[in-house]
Amino acid sequence: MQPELEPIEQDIGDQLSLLTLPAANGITTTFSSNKYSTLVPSHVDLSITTKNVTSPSKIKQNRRLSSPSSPNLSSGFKILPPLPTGSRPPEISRSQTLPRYSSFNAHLEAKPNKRCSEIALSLDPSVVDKMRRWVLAIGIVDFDLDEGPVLTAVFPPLQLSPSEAENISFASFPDSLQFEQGSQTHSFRIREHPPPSGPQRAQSKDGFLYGFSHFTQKRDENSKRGYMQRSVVVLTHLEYPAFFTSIASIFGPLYQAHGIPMLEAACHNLATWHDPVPGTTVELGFLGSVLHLEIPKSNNEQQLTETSSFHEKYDPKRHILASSAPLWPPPLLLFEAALSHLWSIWECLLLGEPILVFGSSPAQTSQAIWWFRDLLRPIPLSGDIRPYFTVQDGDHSILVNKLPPKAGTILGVTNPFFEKSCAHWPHVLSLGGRVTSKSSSRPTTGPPPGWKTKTHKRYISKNRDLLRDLEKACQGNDDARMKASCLLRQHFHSRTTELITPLSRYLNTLIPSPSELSKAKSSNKTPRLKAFNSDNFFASLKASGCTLPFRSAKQKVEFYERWLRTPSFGLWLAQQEVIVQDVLTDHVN
Amino acid sequence: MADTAAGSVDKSVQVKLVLLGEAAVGKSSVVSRFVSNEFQPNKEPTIGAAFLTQKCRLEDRVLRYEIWDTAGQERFHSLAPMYYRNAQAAVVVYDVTKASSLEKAKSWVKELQRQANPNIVIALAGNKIDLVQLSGSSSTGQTASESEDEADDATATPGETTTSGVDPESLRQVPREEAQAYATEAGLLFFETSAKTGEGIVEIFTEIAKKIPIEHILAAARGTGRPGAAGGRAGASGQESSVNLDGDANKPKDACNC
Repeated sequence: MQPELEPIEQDIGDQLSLLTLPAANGITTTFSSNKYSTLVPSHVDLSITTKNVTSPSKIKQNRRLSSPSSPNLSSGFKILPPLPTGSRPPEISRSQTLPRYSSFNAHLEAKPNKRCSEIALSLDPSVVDKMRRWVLAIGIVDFDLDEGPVLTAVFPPLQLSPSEAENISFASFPDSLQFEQGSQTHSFRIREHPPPSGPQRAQSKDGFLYGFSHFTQKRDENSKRGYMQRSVVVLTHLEYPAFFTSIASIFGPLYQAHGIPMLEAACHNLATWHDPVPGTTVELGFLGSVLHLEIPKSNNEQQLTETSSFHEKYDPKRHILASSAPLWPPPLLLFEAALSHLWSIWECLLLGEPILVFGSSPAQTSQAIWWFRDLLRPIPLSGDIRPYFTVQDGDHSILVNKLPPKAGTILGVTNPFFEKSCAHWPHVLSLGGRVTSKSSSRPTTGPPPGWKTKTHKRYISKNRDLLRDLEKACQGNDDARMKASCLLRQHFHSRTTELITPLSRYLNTLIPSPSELSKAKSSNKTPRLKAFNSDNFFASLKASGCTLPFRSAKQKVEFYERWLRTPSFGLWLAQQEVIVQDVLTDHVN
Repeated sequence: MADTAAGSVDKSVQVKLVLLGEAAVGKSSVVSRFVSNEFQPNKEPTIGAAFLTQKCRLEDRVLRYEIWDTAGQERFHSLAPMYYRNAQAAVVVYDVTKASSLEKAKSWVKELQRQANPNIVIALAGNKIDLVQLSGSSSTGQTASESEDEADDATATPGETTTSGVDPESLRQVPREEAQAYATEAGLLFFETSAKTGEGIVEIFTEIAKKIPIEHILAAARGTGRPGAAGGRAGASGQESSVNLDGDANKPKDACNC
């Protein structure tokens, strides 16, 4: 299942010249807080940085750029033409921008390293253990002129293999220019390749590590390139994107301003939290902020805003549904140029169609990919999804090659390189609003915003009333967009539920009857769910119908026929069988 | 308890409260006395800050304190603004047996008055008065051994070195009158407290509750100019959280229900 990959060196080496990694300095600054406190008085800095985390409604920047963590360097924050990259030799090769393995080996495995020694902090092992119920480690990624993004520190020390360290480095950095000065939070999902030796570390359920990165770019006259670029990345095995995006957005700026004492405070703070118990609602204090969090019962539970467990009506500004996509900025804006295609996109998601998602920033792509993953619930995830995928990812050659992409693969990318290497993919979604003359100053890379499909024809009718509302909300204020985003989420969640309803109805008929149960009991056999039979299901579908507005009866049958062939359906059925079997076993005992 | 708490949460007013003061004056002990009515001698020093909540009933109102118990050690000083930012109340603690701790308290008060929310209610608490009082039947020696020192090696509680027979009042380095005069001048609530015996603790939080401009907070919460943090300061609370909502209605109505 986990192919041992040689990191792909050969096939993309030349493509690196397409990257527009912003000109950057080699970071030589230490983590002392003095560095930034000379720029901005600490209390001012705090109120600025946290304000945009906490009261997002105030952010009125260019919509395309705002993110939960958008910098509040608002006055000076506008889109500028790309930094002069002329000084960079165009023939820059990958070997110059990649971290060197030897150095990673040196500092990420047991040997002491001068980079890591910057974090002169030790934690009691019991504090580390408690913290790791939530967060495995916090990493610092700096841009090195010779090596590209480099994971310069991981705390508490975490055993990472060289390929993991490289993946984290590149996935933590945007690979295209977003702003001259500012910051942004995005997330990624990378495959775990734990080092074969060394102490065991907490493993995720699904074999992936989740990273939540707060990237900052600031002018820095001391640097050769005139800019300081750094990402502070929260690594965890929990798939709670909305929650950890908040955590990274709070911690990133604070760490930038205060350094080590802030890291120490954060680790101890995390260690005081209760266990992340599925199905609970908790109030968590984090570095001066209070987070109200609902943890789902399982990864496949729909966490609905209508039925959220907070003691008041769900408010996206105050409450966090752990497994949802980050709900700020309003996700609606991601799909502005593809609103009328959202119904097709949802069908493609369900049918496991591979989708390439372009965004102008990792913040956009990761928000979109988590949004899609969320809409699939309660159906289990069967494909490989990557909220932000780079050409340097260790899985690049498996996921992007000449072969047709695997079912269920959804990649979030910002590098225009993918436009060519994925030219044979069936569906491409490019995020954001339609390009108008006004916004044409933005450095456009990749396909223009909108949905392009080579194969998919819609089976189910759109909801035109909702579409009209969405279009209207796009022109409205942030509150209207937020409200519309929640409506949109609700709409597709209920469509996913409606899709499953006929199957659940049919499955109910496969449960042994009371008389069969007592017979099984007397003969000391474990009763079983009867086998799923497609013909019988379609007969049941025909007889009982389906509430989804299929465009025709024929299309209804076709859609279900296709869905029953997807890996997601197999996983869903297996999951239902387990649930029923547990009940039946209990009944017998 | 959970149900009644859940029912009243919606009506409660969230009050962000921060504890500040020199290391080892007993901030965490004051909080733990208030929140869980416990006292633990020789507590570990706080790193960063601890977050706790406690409800306080005041006539027909329920206040819910979101308490940030900060670390007194100097290396965390620069982190304090994120804890007192948007705070509606602060308790600045000093140790009555240590004159320098009052000076530190004064500098915290100054910082709060300069940089915190202009309406912040500040209480000054001179802690560890048990060390300067004649204890009834138990010997002063025992008092000493149960010092509530935060185990920060920067400070040693004088009581630890006392031998029985010494007049405990001689340990006092901050006269009550002096601190009271300063508090009056600076416009602070003032208390002498003992986290160990519980003396004066509930009073701090009750008096703060009376002084908090509740209508102002409610209006701010209703309006768009909420001072809210990422998670916000809404009236929601999870019963599974680290909240000890201990104590309730069988307490005098006019006092904190803890």
